[in-house]
Amino acid sequence: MKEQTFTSSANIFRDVVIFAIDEANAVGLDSEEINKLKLIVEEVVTNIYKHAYRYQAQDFNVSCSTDNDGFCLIFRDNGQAFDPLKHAQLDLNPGIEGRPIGGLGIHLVRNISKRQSYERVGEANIFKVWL
Amino acid sequence: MSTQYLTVSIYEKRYIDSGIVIEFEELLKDAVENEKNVALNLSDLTFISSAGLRVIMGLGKVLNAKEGKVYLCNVPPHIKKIFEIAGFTAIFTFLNDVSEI
Repeated sequence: MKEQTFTSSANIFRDVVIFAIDEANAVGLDSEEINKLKLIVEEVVTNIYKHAYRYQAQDFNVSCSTDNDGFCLIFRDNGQAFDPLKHAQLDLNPGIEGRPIGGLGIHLVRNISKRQSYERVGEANIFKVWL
Repeated sequence: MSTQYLTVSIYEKRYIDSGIVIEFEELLKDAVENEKNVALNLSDLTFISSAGLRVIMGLGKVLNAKEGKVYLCNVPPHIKKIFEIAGFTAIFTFLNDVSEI
C-alpha cells in the first residue's frame, strides 16, 4: 500500500490525482475507472479542505490499496469531524427552481464508486472509496 | 434583453474543475447578466467536477427565472454520464449540435 502526505489547499487535489493515477496505472485500471478516480479525488480532497480543515493548510494522507472489493482510495485527515455520508441523498425530482446548488460532489462520489465508508478514529476522519 | 442564443465554447481548458471554476464563471458572466437563452458547446470537454456542475446549475436557475434556457450541446458520452448522474438530463436540454436550436 502506497501512502503520501499532502498539505490542504484549494488546488492540491491535482497533486493527489497524479499520485492516485500512478497507483491506479500500476494495478491496471482502465481509462473509465481513471476518469472516476479523478472526479472522486477532487470531490473528497476539496471536502477535506473546506469542511474538515475549514480552508486551513493542514496535512492529510492518501493511500491506495487493492482488496476483494477492488481498488480503494483511503483519505485520512485530522480536521473537524466530517462524515460526507451523513448528508441525505440528493433529491433529483424537483425542477430546476427547486434543485439545490450544493451537495453534488458527494452525490457523484456515491454514484460512481462501488462502495464508500467513513469512520472517526480518535482525532482522524478516515474516508474510503472503492472503485 | 437579447433573444439571441449566445454560444459559449469551452475551447482552451477542456476541463472544468474547482481550480478553474472562477474562470468558467467569468466566461458566463455576460450571459448571466444579459441573455435569456444560452447554448454551451461542450464538444472539447474532457472532465467536469461538481464545481463546474454548480456553475451550470446556477446559470440554469438565473435563465429559468427569465423564462430562458440553457442548451448543452455536443456533450461527449463520458461527460453526458456525469450529467445523467447529477440529474441534469431531466432539467436541461441536450442537443447533438448547436445548429439544432
